[in-house]
Amino acid sequence: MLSVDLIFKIAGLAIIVSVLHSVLKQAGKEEYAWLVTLTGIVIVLTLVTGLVAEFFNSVRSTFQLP
Amino acid sequence: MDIFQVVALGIVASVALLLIRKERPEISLGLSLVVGVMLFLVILPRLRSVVAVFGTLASESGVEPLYFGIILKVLAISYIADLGASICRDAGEEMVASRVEMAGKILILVSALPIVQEVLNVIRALMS
Repeated sequence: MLSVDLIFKIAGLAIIVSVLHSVLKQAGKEEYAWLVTLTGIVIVLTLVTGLVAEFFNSVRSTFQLP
Repeated sequence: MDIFQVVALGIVASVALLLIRKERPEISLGLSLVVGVMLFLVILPRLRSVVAVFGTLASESGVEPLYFGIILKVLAISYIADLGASICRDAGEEMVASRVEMAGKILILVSALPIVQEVLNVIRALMS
């Protein structure tokens, strides 16, 4: 249940995204840099939603809620 | 021991957050949400045994099961509302956070209404 690799995954993703962002910005491709950031956020959100859904289900079963 | 797990997770997450907060604040928000949920998931099984003990206590002492269910519901609402409000506050959205808290309070009030009615009935029976 407890997985530290999710933390490292997200942190690594953030570092990659910021490197790509600054490289693209240096190359003068502002719009692509923005797209890279957006993609990073979407990937992180998909990772987070699964965990949050699991969390809600486990709270529901712990407190015996319908 | 769970506390070692929790502390290690907190330290690792804090270092990672420190690393990415300045560059990518939006991704660091997702990371802090993940860490909060993970710590909660570590501690939830313990809470489950506590809830089981209190459930047997309540049923042995003859408390109506409806009331115990209400107490559990209020607990769950307050934990989840607190988590959501903290995430919103972390993102700097003070207004959204306070609305989330207000919604949690109102939902708790709504769940507690049967108990309030019961108390009023008892008082009325005592008066007459």
